[in-house]
Amino acid sequence: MILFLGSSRDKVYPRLLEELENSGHEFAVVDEDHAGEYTIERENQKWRIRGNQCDGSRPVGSIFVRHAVARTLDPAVVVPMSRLQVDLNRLLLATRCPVINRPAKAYSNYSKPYQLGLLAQAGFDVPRTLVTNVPEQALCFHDELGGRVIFKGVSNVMSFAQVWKSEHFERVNLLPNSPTQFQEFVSGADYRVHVIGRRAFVTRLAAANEDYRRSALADHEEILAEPAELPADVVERCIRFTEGLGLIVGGIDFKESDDGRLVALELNPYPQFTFYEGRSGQPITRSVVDYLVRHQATEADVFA
Amino acid sequence: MLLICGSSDDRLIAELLRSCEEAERTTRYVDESTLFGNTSFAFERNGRDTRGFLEISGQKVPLEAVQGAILRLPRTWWPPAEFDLQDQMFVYHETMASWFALLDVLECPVINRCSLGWWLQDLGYPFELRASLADVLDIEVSSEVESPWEGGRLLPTNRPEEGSVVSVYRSGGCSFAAPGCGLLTIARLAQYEPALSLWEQYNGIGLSRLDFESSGSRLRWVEVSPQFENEPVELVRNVASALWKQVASGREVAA
Repeated sequence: MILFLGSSRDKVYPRLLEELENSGHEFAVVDEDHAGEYTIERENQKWRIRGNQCDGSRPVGSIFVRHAVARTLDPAVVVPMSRLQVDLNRLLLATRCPVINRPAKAYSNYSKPYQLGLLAQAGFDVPRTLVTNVPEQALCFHDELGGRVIFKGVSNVMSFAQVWKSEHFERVNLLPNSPTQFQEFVSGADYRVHVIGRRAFVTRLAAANEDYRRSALADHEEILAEPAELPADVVERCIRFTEGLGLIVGGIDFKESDDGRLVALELNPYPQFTFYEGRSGQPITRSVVDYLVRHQATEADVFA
Repeated sequence: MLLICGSSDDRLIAELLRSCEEAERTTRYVDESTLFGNTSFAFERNGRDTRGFLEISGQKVPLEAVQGAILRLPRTWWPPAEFDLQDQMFVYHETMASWFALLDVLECPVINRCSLGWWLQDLGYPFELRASLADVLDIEVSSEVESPWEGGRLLPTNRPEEGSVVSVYRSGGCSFAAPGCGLLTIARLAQYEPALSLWEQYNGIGLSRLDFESSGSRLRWVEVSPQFENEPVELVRNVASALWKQVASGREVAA
C-alpha cells in the first residue's frame, strides 16, 4: 500500500489522490490538517498509524510526504500538527521503504546560499551572490554589477525575488534588521527541472515578472509553461544532484540568459509540481505515483 | 583569531577563555544576542569562491582570518518585539539561514558544525542524530519517549541527574566519564573509536554528551550543546582542554 502524508488544503493533494486512484493501487492518507485524529505507535521495530482511514494493520510499501504548513500561529492548530509531524518524521527516519522525500534529507533548501554552494560544487553555474546585513556592502555589490541585481530571502520562508529598482535604495538602510540575499540578475527564460528518480521533466516558463511565481500567485497573471529540453548533461547532473542529496524528487530552477548562459538557482525538495503540469500538460504527478508503485518495499515496517 | 560565541555564564566558555589567555591567542568573545542581532557581516559567492568579513567589537575581520569558532549558543535569541510576530519569525529564519551559510564557508574548525536541522529547530534532528550514532555503536535506542519538544525548541541541556542514566562527554576526540559513569561504558565506547570519530566528522560534532541507559545497552540521547552547570571543576577543565587542543590544532574533530 502507498501512504500519503500531507494536507488536504494543499494543491498537490487532490491531484495526487486522483492519480493514486487511477493507478488502481491501494493507498491511505494521513491528513495533517486533522492532526489530532491520528496516533502513531512503535512496537517491536514496527510503526502503526491509526486514525481515519488508517487502522494500523495494512503494510506500507512506499510513502509520499508533503507536510502541512500551519498557516496560523494559533497553538490549537500548531501544537497538534507539530507533534504529529515530529512523530511522523521519526517514523520516516526509521522506515526502510522508499520515501518521497525524507524530511531529514531536505534540509539544504533552508539556507539558499548554502545550497547554492552545493550546486556550485556539483558543477552548475551559479549567479554571483552576496549575503549581508551591511547597507554599504549591498550598495557596493549593486555598483559592481552595474545595477543588475535582484534580492530575495535567505531561508526557505516564502519570499519573491525582486529586481533592485530605484525605489529600493532607501530600504537598504533597513538591512541591519535582517540579512538579505543579493544576486546578479540573469534576465531570460526560466526553466524548472523536475526529477523523479531517474526521470526528469523540463519545463520552460515565461512571465511578465522576474519571479514567475509572483506573476501567477500574487499578480494573478497568466504565465507560459511548456515542455522544453535542456542539454542531456545538465539533466543528468540534475538527476545526480537530487540523488546525491538523498532525495527521490526535486525541482531545480534555472535561468537562461539571452546569450545562452544557464545558471542554477536552487533545488526545491518539495516542489509544487501541479503548478507546472497544470500549465505544461506534463505527467509529473503520474510519474511520481508510478515511482511509488514500482518501488514498494516487500517487507513492511510501517502499517496504516 | 578564535571566535567564541555563547553565554557569559557558561562554565566551559570561561575555561576556554582562560586557556586562550594563557596561550596568548587572539580571541573574540561575543554573546548570542550580539552575534545574531548586532554583528555586521557580508559574504559573497562567486562560482566556487567565497570571501567576506565579520565586524566584531568595531573591528572588521576577514573570514580567512578566523582560525577557529566555538559555538555554545543558549538559543534564546529572538528578533526584537518591535516587529510584528510574522516578521519576527521571518527575521529569525533569515538570520539563522545566513549564519549557517557563513559558518559553512569558514575553512577553520567550527565546533559544533551542526546540520541545518539543528539550526532550524527541526525537532527530528536529535532523533536522526541518535539513530545514526546507535547504528555506529551497534546498540538500540532507548524506547522511552524523549522530549526535545519543551517549548517546541531544541534547547541545551544539563546532564540528567537520574540513576537510570549514565553520561559520557566527547570532546576533541576524547571520552570523559561524567560522575556515576563507570569505566565499563568508556571501555565499550573505546571499542568503537574509529567509527565514532567518523560519525563525529560526518555530523560536524566535536563536542557532545552521550546519555546511555545505566545498563549501557541503549543510547538515550545525544546532546550537542551540553551544559555543565553541576559538573565537577576538574571535568569541565578536562573537556575544555581537549576542545582547546582540537581547535588549536586546526582540525575540526580528531583524525
